[in-house]
Amino acid sequence: MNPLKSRNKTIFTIISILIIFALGFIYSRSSVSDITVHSKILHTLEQSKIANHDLNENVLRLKTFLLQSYDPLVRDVGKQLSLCKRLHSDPTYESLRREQTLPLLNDYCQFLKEKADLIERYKTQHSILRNSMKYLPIVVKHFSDTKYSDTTHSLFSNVILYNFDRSEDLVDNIYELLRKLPKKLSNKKDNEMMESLRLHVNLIVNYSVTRATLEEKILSSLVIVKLEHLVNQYLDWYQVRQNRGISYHFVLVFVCFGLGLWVVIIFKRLQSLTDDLHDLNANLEMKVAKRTKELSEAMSKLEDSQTVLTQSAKMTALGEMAGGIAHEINTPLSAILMNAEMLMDRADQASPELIRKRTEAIVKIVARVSKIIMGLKRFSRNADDAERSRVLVQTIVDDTLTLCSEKFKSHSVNLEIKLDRSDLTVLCVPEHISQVLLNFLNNSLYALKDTDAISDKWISIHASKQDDQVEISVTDAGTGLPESIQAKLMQPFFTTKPPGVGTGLGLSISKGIVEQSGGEMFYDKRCPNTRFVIRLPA
Amino acid sequence: MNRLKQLVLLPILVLALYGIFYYVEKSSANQYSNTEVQNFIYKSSTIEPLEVPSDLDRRKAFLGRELFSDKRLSKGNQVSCHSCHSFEIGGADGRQFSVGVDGKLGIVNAPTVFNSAKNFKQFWNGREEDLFGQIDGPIHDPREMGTTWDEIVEKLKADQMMVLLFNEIFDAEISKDRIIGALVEFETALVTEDSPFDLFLKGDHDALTESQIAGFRKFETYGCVACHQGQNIGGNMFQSMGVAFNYFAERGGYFESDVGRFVVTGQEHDRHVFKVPSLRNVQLTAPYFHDGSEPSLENAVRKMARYQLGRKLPKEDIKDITEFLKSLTGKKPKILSEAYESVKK
Repeated sequence: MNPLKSRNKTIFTIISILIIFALGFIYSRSSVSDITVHSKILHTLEQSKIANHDLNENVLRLKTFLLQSYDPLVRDVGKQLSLCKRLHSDPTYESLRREQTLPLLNDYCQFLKEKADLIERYKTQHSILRNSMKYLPIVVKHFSDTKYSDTTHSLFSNVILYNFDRSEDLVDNIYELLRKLPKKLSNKKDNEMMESLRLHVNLIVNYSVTRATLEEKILSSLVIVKLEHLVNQYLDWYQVRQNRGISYHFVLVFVCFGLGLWVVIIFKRLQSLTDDLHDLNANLEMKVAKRTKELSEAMSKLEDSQTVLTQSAKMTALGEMAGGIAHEINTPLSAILMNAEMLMDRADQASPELIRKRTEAIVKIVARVSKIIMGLKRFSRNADDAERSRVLVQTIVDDTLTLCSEKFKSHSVNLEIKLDRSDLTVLCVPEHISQVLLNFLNNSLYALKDTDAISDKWISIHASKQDDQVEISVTDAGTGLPESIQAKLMQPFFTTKPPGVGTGLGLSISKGIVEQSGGEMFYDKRCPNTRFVIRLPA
Repeated sequence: MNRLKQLVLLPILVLALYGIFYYVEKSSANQYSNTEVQNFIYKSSTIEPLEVPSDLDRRKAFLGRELFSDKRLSKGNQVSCHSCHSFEIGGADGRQFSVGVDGKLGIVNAPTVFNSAKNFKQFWNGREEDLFGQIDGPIHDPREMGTTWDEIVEKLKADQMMVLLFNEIFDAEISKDRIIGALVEFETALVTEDSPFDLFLKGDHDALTESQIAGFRKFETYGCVACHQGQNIGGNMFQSMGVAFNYFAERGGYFESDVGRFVVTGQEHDRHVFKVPSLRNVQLTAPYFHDGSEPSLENAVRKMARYQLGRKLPKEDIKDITEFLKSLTGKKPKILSEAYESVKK
């Protein structure tokens, strides 16, 4: 694997892990506390408040000394203590036992325990008072018909008053009244009653002070304040935590959203890249197919144009000869015309001999013209698919020359034909070789016809047998070709003729033709004159 | 003449009105039956009838019943909870001080186990809040059972039957907390329902004899009810022993336990302060007081009247009150007679 890529992979893994950790952290901070737990805590705290309230109410109710059991008090205290215990140990109330609230909770429970102790003492004092308060009226009633009636009655009312208003005056008053009563009575029953009256009045005076202080302490206990404080602290903390949780929640949502978006974008990009790759693949195939097709089209076009070119070169050569041919045909035609006119003029007096002589001449000339036209026809035939045959060199040269001998004559160019043997034959498509020869002859004629530098204008065709090949050369009076031209001589479209005159294809096509026939063609550099040579199999 | 008429008519009119009111009052009073009147009177009373808690786990309670009589809960397998809290002797043992392991004597009179779950605190000095904490006391006290939980758990674990029972009921192995849980569940079920007085409170006017009803009235008027109130007729508050007169001086002698709640709080005002005991089944739980010094119920009533109420009661009143106290004896808890199989699933 590419080291760069593997490094990228490591980095990517680390980033992913970091992102996961970050998400986990945010998630842990964003956890909004369970609403059921919250409401449970609030409910318990509220219950504690209610229990405290009930407790106070029951304490106040006891003040009336009406018959009542302490069971409700015990129940309220027990309930509040058990709630406190639950707040301290139940895992549900974990959040109440944090750094900030635990001291408050402890405070609250401490005060509650103190209050519970106070209530125990209060119950003790209260029950004694209750007993005495119940008993007093009986004693007072016992003395109602005696001389102590007034004293005992006012004592009783004072004691009752003292229970609600503990003033020093009242105490003094009570003790004053007690002193008024006799220490000892003669009647045993009366004596007992008097003793218990003193005892209970003293008990009430003594205990009502402690009872009242206890009552005050109980009712003014800071339990409820501590509880309120705890509740407030908890609510503050909860609010802060809730807010924090909510903001982290938002962060979490945004981060998740962003990540999601990112993943979607990456996915899309991946998708488009894959699509591109698919397209590229498909395109490549298409392009390859297209190029192949184009190539083959170009090939076939090239082939076509090759054919066309060959043909057009042929036509050019033909065109060049057209004048010659016209000349070629014109001369015999005028001879025919002359003979025919002569026959017309002398139709009445002409001797049969003359007529025969002239018509023979006409026939001869027509045969010649016909020969020329035949040659032209043979030449112009597209002989691509013609079969090779063994042909006399003489015939080929004659066929060629019938097409152009007149042109040479008109430009006073000497044409010399020199065949080593008259029975020389070559294996070829004769039309092709005629074309090649014609091409050479045309070039030579073109080089010679307008020049004044060469006074002796000649073209020589020479054929000889060399081993199993027949060499045919066309030499003209020209002084050869410069080196620079020799190199490009056989290249297609190379021409020294002005534009529109030559196609520059003549020699290249001729070379192709000769080579097709299994021969060779070259420019003879050794010859002082301009000499082209073709060699064909015999 | 007119004046004379007025003088005669006015008293007649007044009398007639009075008569009408009297009649109306009488007839309206007659509209209520006796029980309804009783209900009206006693519904708001300071004493309520006992009830067995409805949310008991009966299987646990039955296991607790087994453990309650299991002597393996003591050193050398000598005593069980039942040794000192006999179901036959009102949930106590009838002794002044109970006999623990190796014949050692306790220092306070054993209170009854019946209805003990309804006491607001446990022990005479109220040093434990509930029965869960109470059990530790006798288990560790060298004068009572003198053992440790580890020892008990080990001994019970050796018993295949116990292991099976715990497995069946707790779906867990034997442990201290589970033993305590079972015992407390059982003790919570030990409620002596349907005492004649409870039936009376519930409206059965014939449940009490005339003497008992009179006793109850006196119980209230003399002020006994000031401390002995609530569902358990006591057991919901502390009171100083000897409010009116010094009980300890007159009794003579010194007991270690006489300091009472002072041991727990260290507060001077808690000296000689004890939990007010429940009067339920008091007939069966002699001897009386924390020191177990009074074997006779009548004498106990007399002493209480003197030291706590500062009163000397006439003999007939003591007799009535004693009669009333006898009406507080309830039926034996149902759990004692029920068979374990009946709850087995």
